[in-house]
Amino acid sequence: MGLVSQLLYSAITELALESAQCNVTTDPPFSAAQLLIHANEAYQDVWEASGASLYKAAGSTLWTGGGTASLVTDFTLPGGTGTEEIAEFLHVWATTTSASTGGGAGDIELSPVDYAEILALRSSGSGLGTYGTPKVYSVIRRVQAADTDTNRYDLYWWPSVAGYYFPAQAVRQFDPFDGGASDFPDVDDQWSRTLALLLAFKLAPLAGRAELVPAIAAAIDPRHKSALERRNRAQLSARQDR
Amino acid sequence: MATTLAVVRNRVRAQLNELDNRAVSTGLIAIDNAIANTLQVQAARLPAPRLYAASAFNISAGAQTFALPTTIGSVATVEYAGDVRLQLNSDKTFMLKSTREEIEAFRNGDTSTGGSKPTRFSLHEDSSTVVQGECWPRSKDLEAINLYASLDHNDLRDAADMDAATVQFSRYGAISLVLLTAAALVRGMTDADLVLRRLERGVATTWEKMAAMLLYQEEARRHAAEDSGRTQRWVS
Repeated sequence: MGLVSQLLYSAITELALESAQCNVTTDPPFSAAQLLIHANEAYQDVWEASGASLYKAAGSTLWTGGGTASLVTDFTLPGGTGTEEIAEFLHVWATTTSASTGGGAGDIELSPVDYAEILALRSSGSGLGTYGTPKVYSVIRRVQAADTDTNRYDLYWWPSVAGYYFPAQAVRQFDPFDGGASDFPDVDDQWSRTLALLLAFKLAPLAGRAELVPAIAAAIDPRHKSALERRNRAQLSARQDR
Repeated sequence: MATTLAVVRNRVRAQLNELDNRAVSTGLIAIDNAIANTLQVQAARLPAPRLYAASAFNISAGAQTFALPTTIGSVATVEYAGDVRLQLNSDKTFMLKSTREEIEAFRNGDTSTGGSKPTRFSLHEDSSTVVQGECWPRSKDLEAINLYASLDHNDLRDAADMDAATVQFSRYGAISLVLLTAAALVRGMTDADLVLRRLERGVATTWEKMAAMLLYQEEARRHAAEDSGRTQRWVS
């Protein structure tokens, strides 16, 4: 087991194999690669259920073309792997501080609007006043015309004022295990144990031990219930119930 | 105690429970637009703010016409509310306001090109809202004019930077503006919008009454300042 309250990948797979009664080194029923595939399936299920974690990124690193404060064109979130894989933008700021990840003194939180509103303001915004700083933004997913367009987003803002970085706080897309022993899931301690049991739930029938499934399911149920209750308590007290 | 649009906007958003940028349906631009409109509605009930500008413009030598300035200080879109007094800066005499017909009667048949210090003037607004003036007699020398005038409230949307635009209201007027703007926006909300903000439509009536009380007090305050504290009485 890992030394942290949240189980690491090695502990998760060990607990799962133990629960499925197939934690053997001679003729193991699953290769490391197979174990990784099933672990990631179980991880994704748990990750989605556990709720979002907040990812913060500076505008200078988040957007292509966002490294300088002089651009006024639309910024593009780079594609590829790693930190750029955003599922949903929660907050976007305009700031003159390149290292800011949003919410700092002087950072201007922008209001999210439909892309259509940005276009309308650009073409028909006269008479609605002149602003010295960006006020509203829209982030849209770019069509995937090529592999390099994977997970790319375009940021539009209004008015088009120069000199700003656009840090954001967001929910990332699911980031799977890479199979390293010290890899860890982006969930808390309870969910990491649910993850191990769910993995065992998937492995047991594949290892010819389907008779263990009811017992594993019975173990998952209270663990899952307590994890959900903890999440609900946190949400209620943090006024996220709307 | 004039405040800024940014302050009024923040208060409107708080009044609407719309500080959460994730739970916005009205939107910042629409709120600013509503504030600017409501300001003009409320300003229409109030005495116009007054201005004094020394040597605000000149009457040229030999001229019998002039135009009031469209830019005074930082305000580039001046619109006059009607109470205009002109003072010659040279000898500090006030010119008498006359009708256009009176000026024309004085000028009738006069072909002289000379003149002296102008003593009378009349005003009219042309089609581009520039206030044009005529004086009598024709000004002999270039005369710098001190301008005393009442001005309509600025349209906030004409400011160079909306966030810094000045709302020419006292604190009474500013709160009244917040309440009436918020009430107008609440009346335009759908039931879903109201649920999102945990508001009930009836609250708009309360806010409108509060706004009316405050606007009355703002009106009384301005009149009292001009009328040496003449007693105001609330008549509903």
